[in-house]
Amino acid sequence: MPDSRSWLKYFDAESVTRLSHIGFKPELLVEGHLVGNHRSPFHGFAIEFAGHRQYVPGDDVKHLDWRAYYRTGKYLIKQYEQETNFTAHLVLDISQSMGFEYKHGRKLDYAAFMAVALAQLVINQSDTVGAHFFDNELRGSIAVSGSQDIVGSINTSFEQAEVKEPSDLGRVLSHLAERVGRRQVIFVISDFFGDPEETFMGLKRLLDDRHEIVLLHLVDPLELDFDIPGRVRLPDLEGEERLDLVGSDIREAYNEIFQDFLTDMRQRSLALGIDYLLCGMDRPFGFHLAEYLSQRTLR
Amino acid sequence: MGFANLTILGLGGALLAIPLLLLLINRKRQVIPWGAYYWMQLAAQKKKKKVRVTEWLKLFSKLLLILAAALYLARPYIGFGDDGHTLIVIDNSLSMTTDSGSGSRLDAARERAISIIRETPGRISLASYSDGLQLLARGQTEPANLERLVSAILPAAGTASGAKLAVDLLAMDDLQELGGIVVISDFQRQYYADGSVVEQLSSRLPDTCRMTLVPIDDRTSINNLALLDWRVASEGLHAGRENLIDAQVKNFGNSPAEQVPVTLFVDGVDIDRAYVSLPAGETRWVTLACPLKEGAEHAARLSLPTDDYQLDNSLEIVLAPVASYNVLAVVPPQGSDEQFTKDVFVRSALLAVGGENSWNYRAMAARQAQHQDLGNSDLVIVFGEPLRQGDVLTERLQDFLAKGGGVVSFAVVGQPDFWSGFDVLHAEEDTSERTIDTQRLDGGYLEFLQGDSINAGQIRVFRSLPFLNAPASQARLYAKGQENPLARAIPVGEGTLVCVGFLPGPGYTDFYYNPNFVQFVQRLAWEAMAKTPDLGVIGDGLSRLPLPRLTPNQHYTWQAENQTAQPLALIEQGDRAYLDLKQPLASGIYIISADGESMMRFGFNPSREDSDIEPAADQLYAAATKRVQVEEGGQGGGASRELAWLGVILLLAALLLENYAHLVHRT
Repeated sequence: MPDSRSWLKYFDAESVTRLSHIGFKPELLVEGHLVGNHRSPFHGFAIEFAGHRQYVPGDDVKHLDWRAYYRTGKYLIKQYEQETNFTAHLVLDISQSMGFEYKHGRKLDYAAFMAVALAQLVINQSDTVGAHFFDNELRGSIAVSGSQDIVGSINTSFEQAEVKEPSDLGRVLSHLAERVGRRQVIFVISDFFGDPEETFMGLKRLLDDRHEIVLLHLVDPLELDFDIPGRVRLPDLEGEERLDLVGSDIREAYNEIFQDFLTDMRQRSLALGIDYLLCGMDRPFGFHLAEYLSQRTLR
Repeated sequence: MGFANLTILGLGGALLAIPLLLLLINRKRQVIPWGAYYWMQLAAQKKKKKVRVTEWLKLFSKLLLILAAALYLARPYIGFGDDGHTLIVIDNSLSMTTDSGSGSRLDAARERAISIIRETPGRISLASYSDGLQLLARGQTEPANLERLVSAILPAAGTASGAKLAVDLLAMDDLQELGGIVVISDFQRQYYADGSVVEQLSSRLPDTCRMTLVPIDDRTSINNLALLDWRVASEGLHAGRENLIDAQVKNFGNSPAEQVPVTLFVDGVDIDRAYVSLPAGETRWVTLACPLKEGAEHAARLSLPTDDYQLDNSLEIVLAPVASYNVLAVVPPQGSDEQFTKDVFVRSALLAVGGENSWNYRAMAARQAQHQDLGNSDLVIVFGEPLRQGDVLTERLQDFLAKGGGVVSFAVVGQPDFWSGFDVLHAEEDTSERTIDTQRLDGGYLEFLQGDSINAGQIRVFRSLPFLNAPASQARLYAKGQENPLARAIPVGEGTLVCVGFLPGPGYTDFYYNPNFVQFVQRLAWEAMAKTPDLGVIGDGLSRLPLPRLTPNQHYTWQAENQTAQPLALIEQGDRAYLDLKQPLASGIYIISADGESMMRFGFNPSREDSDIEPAADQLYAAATKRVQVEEGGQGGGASRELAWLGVILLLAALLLENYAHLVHRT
């Protein structure tokens, strides 16, 4: 049967399949509405025995129903504790800086692939996902859903996105905090080209609501190492100004300053317990996600 | 200021423009819309000044490098005359015939002169210089004409001394209008080593005039051995006898010479060879055997192997063996108690060399000799007869001497005014026993005893008449402790009178027992007869060539063997006449003829004064000043030392700027 998702521009089936084998498990206790795979923080409340389900590798063995095993010879998990699903919110940067393109494709497209793959991963886990597109304000949101349709919606939104405004992530995150509930998983896919102070203020606002936050920082290799000899003109993607430079003269200074920015991002994230992943666009998005998700399973 | 290679300078100028053009034209930039603008802006602000400075420093250093290279290759020079008047002086003295490795120094000088002519704007005067400055062209503007004149410059006999050059240049009428003087020479060490010439010119040249010295051939080690002189025993050369000829060799180089052959050719035949080893700067005599079979004249040549300076490698000599000479001895009557006649020892000494074939000897009393036709004699020897004014014998001898005859007069003591007939004064007789003064043998008949021969101090004189007022040039023998000479050679008319202050016999001296008495008597005879067994001149020795009687009604010519004859002018000065012989360049055997008849054959050899051909390279550069510059190595244009240093400084500055720019970039 043909894959109904194959017509999606930003769907990479191979990467998604690989990621699905790894899966994503939220670390924080999440609130979920559906019965899912993740431990609920609500112990001792009015929960009911809901039956058994087949044991799958990774389940906590303390929930095995040994009586059922003696009876049936099968490994079954008791579903007597209420289990919940998590909702992932994809916060997606469509500001002007995401229109940057050099030798590794457009940053926005990279983000789109990543977002679509994450959405599909969550759906595959029977979790739900929503998406929020922003530049200097929230431009649009796709309601949380566990349906396959949301993957297509995210894809379509990226295809139609116009990168025409600068970003203001800090303000957007603060607004977002009022719209999402509590204890969600929030993936922010962006280049984070804004004031880190304001960005992290917004993130802190989300942390106050016990969200688990993952920052996926997209960086083009040229932004990491400005290896352009000779004369170069750099128009600001998010403004009217431009710089005329000699690449070899500016390289060292710029690299140093930009590294300081990345270090600052990492350290701030670490201090706040936020997962931070630097995604160089010279590597496939799937590589970064796989590496990240694998590391999470080892925790 | 000018440039020896304008083409390179033009190219250098074009190259200088390239970085500038690239800077102006190549404004193309790669455009990359940039997202991380904030951080790039921060970096740009930090690097703004340094980037600009670095760029300009790098550009400037590149321009300096190109400029330094262009200046060096363009060979700038100062003082060659801008659009004014330049004098080019080319040294064509004998030392310029030195082989410089690829032709002679003069060839290289002509080449350099032509290149300077082509590169010098304005008017150019041209002069050659050997014994004096010889102007060849004045204020010319046609390079082609000047080049023809340069090509026609030939070596000239003469020595281009620095002191004389300075004098001649400073004495020039149009020195004030000269903007530049270029002297192309080998600048021999012997004339330029002390730098005084450069100093003199620097202090006395007009402010508007600069001089450039262009050294040709600045090698510091040049091989040159030279034959300086020769000598033949004064008793003459005798056919059938083992004659000897000495050659004087000098090593002018600065490295020793080992086993150098000195060869004697007679009439083109290799007769004898001797080997000599010489430390640098040393002079030695070598002896070669010279057997002569016949009595005719012979062309002889002493020869060294080829080296860098050829002119002093040979000596051409005409050898004239003794013919048969008529000797008349005037002797007093033999006393009854005398064992020997007065002339026996002299006669024996004469006949000991050459025998009766050479000496047709007869003796007679004075009274008899007065009536003899002395014109048939070559030599008259007078033993103990006074030659006083008014005596018949004196008058006959005066006449004989006037016509070129030779007279030897031995004195007896006790006879006052012994030679009053010839205005020759003598002191009172000296009866002290004296020995010969070995410290004053130079130029005398016993000069040969200065070597490792029998000690001249063994010769004793018991009675003698010393000469008064004898010029040193006429003195031939001294006794120890005696201020005045005992033998004297006096020119009388065309002839020579040799006076000896003692009798060569018992009671006067024991000299006649000494084997060297033979040489003594032979030398007396040869000087009196004015005969020269060997005839050759070196350099300006032509002026002292003993020519026979010259008369104005004869037509004189001279020629080298196998070449056409050239006329000779007769110059009369007071009562003396001489031929105007100009020093030729080539060595060889020359013949002087009168009305087509050969009257004299002699060997000519160029001067040895220029044989010290070592250039004063380092000393010349050390002496250079602002006013008088030295062109480096004789190559390229007249780049002054200052300009060379300027080029080095530009290069260093360029390298420093490049490094500084790099450092700035790194910080």
